[in-house]
Amino acid sequence: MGDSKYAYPTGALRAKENTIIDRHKINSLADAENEYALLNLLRETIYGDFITEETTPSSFENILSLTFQRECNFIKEITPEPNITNLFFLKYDFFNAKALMKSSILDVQTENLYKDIGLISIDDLKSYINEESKPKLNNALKETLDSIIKDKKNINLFEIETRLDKSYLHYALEQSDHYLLLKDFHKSWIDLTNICSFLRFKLDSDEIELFKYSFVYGGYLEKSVFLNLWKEEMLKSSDFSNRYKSLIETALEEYQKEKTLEIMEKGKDNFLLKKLQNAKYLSFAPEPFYAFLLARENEIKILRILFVGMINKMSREKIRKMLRVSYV
Amino acid sequence: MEIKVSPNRMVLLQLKKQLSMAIRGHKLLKDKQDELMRKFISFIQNYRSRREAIDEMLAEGYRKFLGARAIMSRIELFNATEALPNQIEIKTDEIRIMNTRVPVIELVSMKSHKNYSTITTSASLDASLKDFSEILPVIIKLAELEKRIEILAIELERTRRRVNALEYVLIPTLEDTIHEISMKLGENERATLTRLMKIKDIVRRH
Amino acid sequence: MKSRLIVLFLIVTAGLILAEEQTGISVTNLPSSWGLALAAFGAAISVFLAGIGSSMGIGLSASAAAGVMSENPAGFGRYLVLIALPGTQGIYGFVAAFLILQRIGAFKGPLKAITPDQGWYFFFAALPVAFACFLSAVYQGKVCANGIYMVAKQSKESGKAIVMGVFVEFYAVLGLLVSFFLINAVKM
Repeated sequence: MGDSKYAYPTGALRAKENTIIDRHKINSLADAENEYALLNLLRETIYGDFITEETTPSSFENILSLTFQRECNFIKEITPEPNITNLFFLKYDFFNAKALMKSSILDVQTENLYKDIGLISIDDLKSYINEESKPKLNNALKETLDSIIKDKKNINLFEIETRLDKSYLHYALEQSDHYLLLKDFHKSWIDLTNICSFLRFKLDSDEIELFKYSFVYGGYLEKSVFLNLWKEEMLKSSDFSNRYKSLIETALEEYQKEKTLEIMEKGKDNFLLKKLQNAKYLSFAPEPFYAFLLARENEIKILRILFVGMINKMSREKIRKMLRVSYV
Repeated sequence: MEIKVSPNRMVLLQLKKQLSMAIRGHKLLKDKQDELMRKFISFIQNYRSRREAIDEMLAEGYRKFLGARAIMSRIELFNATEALPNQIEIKTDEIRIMNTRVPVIELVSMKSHKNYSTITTSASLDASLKDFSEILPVIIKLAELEKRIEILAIELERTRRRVNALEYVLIPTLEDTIHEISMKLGENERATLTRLMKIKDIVRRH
Repeated sequence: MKSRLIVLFLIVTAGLILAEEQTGISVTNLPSSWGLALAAFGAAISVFLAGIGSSMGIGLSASAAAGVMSENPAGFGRYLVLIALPGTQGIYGFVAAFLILQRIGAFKGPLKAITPDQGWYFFFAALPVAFACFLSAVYQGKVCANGIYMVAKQSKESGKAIVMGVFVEFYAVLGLLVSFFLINAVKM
C-alpha cells in the first residue's frame, strides 16, 4: 500500500520541521544587537552544530552551507519519492553546469560550485562539458548541454545561462505534472520569473530581445500578454493576472519610489513559499519533503540577509524590509 | 658666502651680467610658480568635488551590490560576476600645461553585456553593475586628474626649489661677491692712490 | 490491496454459486456437514479481515511514530495510545469469532449439528464486524499516524489526537455490536 511507504519518512520529517526557525524567533534574531549577538542566538538552533568558540560572524556562509548540506542529505536519505525531491537537488546540478560551462568557455578554473548538494558529481559534469567522456546525466540537462556544446562558437554567456535555467524550469514543471500542488508551484514560479525578467528588462534597460530570450513557457501567463504590455508607459498591476495582483502592486509602487525591484523579489519568494506551505497539511505525499527543502533554503536566505545586513551596518528598517517570511 | 674668484674688473663685469640674468630668471620662475600654483589649486578643487561625487556614487553602487549579496549566496554571486567581459578601450595622450607634460586619458568605448541569466539572479545585481559601469568613465577622468595633479606637484616643487635657489643662494652670493670685488677694487684703488700720493710727496721733498 | 481483498471475497462467493450450479446442489439444500464449515468460515473471516486491518493500521501508526522518534527520541508515552489504537479492531474480530465458536460448541464436548441455513446465518453475522473492522482499522491507522505527526509538533495535543482516532473506532464498535446481536439471534 502506498501510504505505508510515507508513514516513517513523514514522521521523521515532521519532527525535523520543528527545527525550522519560526517567525517569532526570526524577529528576535533581527533584533540582535550586532552580528556577534546574532551568532550567539544561532547557537541554540540547528545551526549551532557548526558554530564553535572560534567561529566569527564573517564565516557565516560556511555555517549556512554546511547546515544546508546536512539537511539535504537527511532528505536524500529518507525521501520516499526521490523523483520529486530530486527536482530540488537538480537545481544545483544545473547551477554547477552553468558555472562549469562558463569556466570552460572563458578558460578559467572555477571554485564557485555547489559540492555535495546536486545529484551528479562535479567531475562527471566537468568531463561531460569538456567532451572527455559521457557519464550518465539527467535527460533534460544532457539535452541542453548537448545543444549548447553544438552552438558553442556563436553563443554568449547570457544565452548559455538562460538556456540552462529555462530547461530546468520546463523539466521541473513536466515532472511535477501529477502533483497538483507542485504543478501549481512550478507554474507560479515560471510566471513570477517571467514577470521579474519583464520588469528588469523593461524598466532598467529596455531590451525586448533579451526578454524574449529569457521568457519561460509553461506558466499561466502567455508570452503575448507581456509583449502587448511592452509598449505601455505606465504599468498597472491589473495588466498581469489577478493571481499576482497585490504582489505586483506593491512592487510597482516601490519601484516608483526607490527604483529597485527588491520588493518584487521578496514578494516572489514569499508567494512561492506560501504556495508550498499547504504541503504542511499533506501526510502521505512527497510534497512536504520538497516543501521542507524550500523552507530551509528560504531560512538560509533570511539568515544571510541578517548577517550581511548586520556585518555591513545596514539600517534596521532596510534589513527588515528585505526579510522573507518564515515557513512556520 | 662668496665665490672665490680673482677680484678684477673682468670678473666683476661677468658677475654683474650673471646677477642681472639671475634676477630676470628669478622673476620668470616666480611667475611660473604662481601660475602653476593657481592651476594646481584649481585642479585640487576640481578633484575634491569629483572625488566626493564618486564616493557617493560608489557608496550607492555598493549599497545595491550589498542588496544582491544579501539575497544571493556567495557561490551564486561570484559565479554571476566571474570574469565579467566588460571590454573597455582606453586611449592615452599627452598635452602641455606650463611646459609640463600631462596625460590625457580617454575612454573610447565600453561594451557591457549581461553574461548571467536573469532567471536565477537578483535584480539588485543588475542595478549595482549598471551603477558601476556608469562610474567607470568618471573614475577614468578622475585618474587623469589625479595624475595631472601629481605631475604638477612635482613640477611645482622643482620650480620652487629653483626659485629658492636663485633667491636665497645664487643672487646673494653673486651680490656678495660683486660687493667684495668692488670693495677690493676700491681698496686697491685707494692703495694705489695713497701710494701715488706718497711717491708724489717723496718726489716733491727731494 | 483493499480492492484485491474484496475481489477475493467476491470470487469465493461466486465459486460457491458456481459450485452449486455445477453439482446441482442448491445453496439452501446443501448436505448438513456444510453448515459447520460455513459457520467456521464466518469465524475465520472475522478474525482474518479484522486482523489484517489492524496490522495494517498499526503498521502505519507505528512507522509514523518510529519516524518521529528517529529525529526526536523523547516522548514515546505520548505516542503509545495512538500506535495501539488501530489494534482494537483485531480484538473485536477475535471476540466475534469467539462467540461463533462458542455457539457451535467448539470448546465443550462434541460440535453441535448445524444445518446449512444456520451455517449461512453465522457466516453473514460475521460480515459486519469483519468489514467494519478491516476498513476502520486501516483508516484509523492513517488518522493515528496524522495524530502522531500533530503530537510531534504540538506535544500538548495528544488528547485531541486520540479523540480523533476514537471517532473511527466507533464504527468498528458498531460493526461488532451488530455481529454480536446477529450471532446471538441464531436459533439452535
